[in-house]
Amino acid sequence: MKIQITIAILSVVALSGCDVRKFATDPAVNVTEVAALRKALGGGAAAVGPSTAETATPVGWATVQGKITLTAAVATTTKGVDKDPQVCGTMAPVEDVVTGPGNGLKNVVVFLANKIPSEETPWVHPSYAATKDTVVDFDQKKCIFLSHVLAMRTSQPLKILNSDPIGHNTSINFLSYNSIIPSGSSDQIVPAKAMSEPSPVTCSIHPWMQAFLFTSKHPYFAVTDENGAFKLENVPAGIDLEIRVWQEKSKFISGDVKVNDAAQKWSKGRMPKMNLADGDSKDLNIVLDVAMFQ
Amino acid sequence: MFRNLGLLASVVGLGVFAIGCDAPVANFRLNRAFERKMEIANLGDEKAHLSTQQVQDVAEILTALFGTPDDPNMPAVEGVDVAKVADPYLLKIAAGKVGSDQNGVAHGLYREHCVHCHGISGDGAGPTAYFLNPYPRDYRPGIYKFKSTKKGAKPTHDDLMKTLKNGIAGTAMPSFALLDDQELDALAAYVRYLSIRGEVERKIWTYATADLENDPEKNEFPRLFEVTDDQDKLKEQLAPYVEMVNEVVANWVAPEPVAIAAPKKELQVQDVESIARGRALFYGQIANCVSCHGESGLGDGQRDFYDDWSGEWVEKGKPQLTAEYVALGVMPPRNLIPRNLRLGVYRGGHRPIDLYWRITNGIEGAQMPAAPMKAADAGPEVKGLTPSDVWDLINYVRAMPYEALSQPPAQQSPVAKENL
Repeated sequence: MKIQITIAILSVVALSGCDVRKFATDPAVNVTEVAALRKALGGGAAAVGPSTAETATPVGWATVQGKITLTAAVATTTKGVDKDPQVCGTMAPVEDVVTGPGNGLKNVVVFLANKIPSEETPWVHPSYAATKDTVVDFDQKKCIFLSHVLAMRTSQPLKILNSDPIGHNTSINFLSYNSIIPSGSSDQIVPAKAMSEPSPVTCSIHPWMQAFLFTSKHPYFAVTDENGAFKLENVPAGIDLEIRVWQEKSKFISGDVKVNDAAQKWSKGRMPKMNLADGDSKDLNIVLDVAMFQ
Repeated sequence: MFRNLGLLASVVGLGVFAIGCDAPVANFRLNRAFERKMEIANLGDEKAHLSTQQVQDVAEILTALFGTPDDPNMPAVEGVDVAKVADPYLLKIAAGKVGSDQNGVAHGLYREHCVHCHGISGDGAGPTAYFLNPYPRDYRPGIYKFKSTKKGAKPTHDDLMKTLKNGIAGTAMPSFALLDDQELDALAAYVRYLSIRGEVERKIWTYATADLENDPEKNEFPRLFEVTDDQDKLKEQLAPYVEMVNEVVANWVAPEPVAIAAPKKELQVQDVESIARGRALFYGQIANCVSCHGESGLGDGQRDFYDDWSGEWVEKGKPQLTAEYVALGVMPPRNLIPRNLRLGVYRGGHRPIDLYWRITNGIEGAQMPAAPMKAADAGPEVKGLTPSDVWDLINYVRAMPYEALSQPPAQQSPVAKENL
């Protein structure tokens, strides 16, 4: 009897002992398809070559500009902070939704998501050549990043400054950058890598500090000012422009929006494609429901 | 009746006991948590999912590119000798079932030595992972802490070999110094292979959620490819995935270690002046070590961060998402604790050169930033550390375990007061 009980206990252990955690099983692969794919991949990269997605060629230049406003203002809030109070104070502003005069939505990134295959005419207007490697300043003061949302070209040097009397470190994970910026000094990097959406900039010494950086190979991007205004100048005309809209709190803006008083539905921040003629200027008056940001 | 029931349980139980828990076929597990994260980020509706067909497509592309744990494959890359990154023969002996061939060469090395912690897919979630702190490394994001290269660059082969040979002090990672060099080369190659596979997988999930014309509302989810007999057409469809492989592999080809400026004079453990200078730097505003490692150096300065591996699954104010990711197979996130420098245990190696790399390059995946460097002949008006400052700092850090903590930091000193 004793032996039986022992065996029974052992058995229960054996039964329950398998696999501590069970996860949903992955779908089984279709081996015929895998074989076909493998065969197609057989020659490796040399045999395939990069995809040629964009076939239309632009004809001239157009401008897209506008204003993004909310249906109501959003009150600014602050949060308590607890490090280096002699410099940082005890409260820091929460800047994930900032509205200005006329309920303009500040710090929205509006950018062209099309693949821009070249940096020459007809894709990129010659006027952008002058600013291609202009240094962009990114400063911090009183433990606040002065540019809360910053957009720049991948070719522009980013000069990270520290105007505080204490040390900061600036970490941009997307660029694998994390360096100490001593008080009153600066460091400079060239991002080189383009982002598909704005990526956080943080300081580990003062964890409440946060900003967002967006890098783009082409110059067609804008960050809205306190009136919610943005302008994409000299975008290529005659192609289907795909413009995406990103905001810190809502990320890519999705759902019902009003553009020039007409209802639209955006998915993943994508405006309906627009094709502009040479010399056109498109004005967009975009109104977003404040509920999206609460 | 009870007796019969007991007997029945015994028979069934014994059967299971005899058969064991072994999974029948070794398969790579998809990174479902990352899939979910990308769905939430890119599908525009938190409740939306990719279709089962799309998930199967991802598995098929990955299998076509990288094979299976029993039969790994390293895809060819234009203009790159992939054998230098992951040699097919080395992959073969690292992969598969444990055993040896007729020449006595051991096979299945990964499954013999690594899999129980690092998992069959290299996800750092093997069966023993749950008992370990720190967790075993998840290779799939392709991020490595202990390396001689700059932030953003991959570790060199030597860096991986050092970790394999020495283990990681203060963690469950043991030394594999008893394996011969070819076996260690094979494991390093296999780890690179798992990272490359994991990084490509992440790109595919991002692509499938962000770039395909998915429409959750109309329930339209296009496939990632359509199988056709037309080889050219199929190749064209696979081009984006080939490009992902090219991008990932390019970073793994010949990463360069950062050159080290030799100290002015040989490092000496008893160099009290250097230690005192290092101490001032440790507590100073430029290196600012104290802000995370703490006034005491016990690693208690800043304890609410996450490293990249855990931090990926934590979103402020959304614990339900973390729970969902954990249910999909990631390790429950843990805070990153800055190193206690009073122990004299250095995970990335205790040699001064290791500490030099940690300080000047920062630690990838963790929050440790790179120290701001300046030229050796730069004046005091330029803020930063000279290479010789870094050596002083290293001298102090190496002296910390022997410094008394029983007095407040302002009064204690390992050296005579006049030297400070």
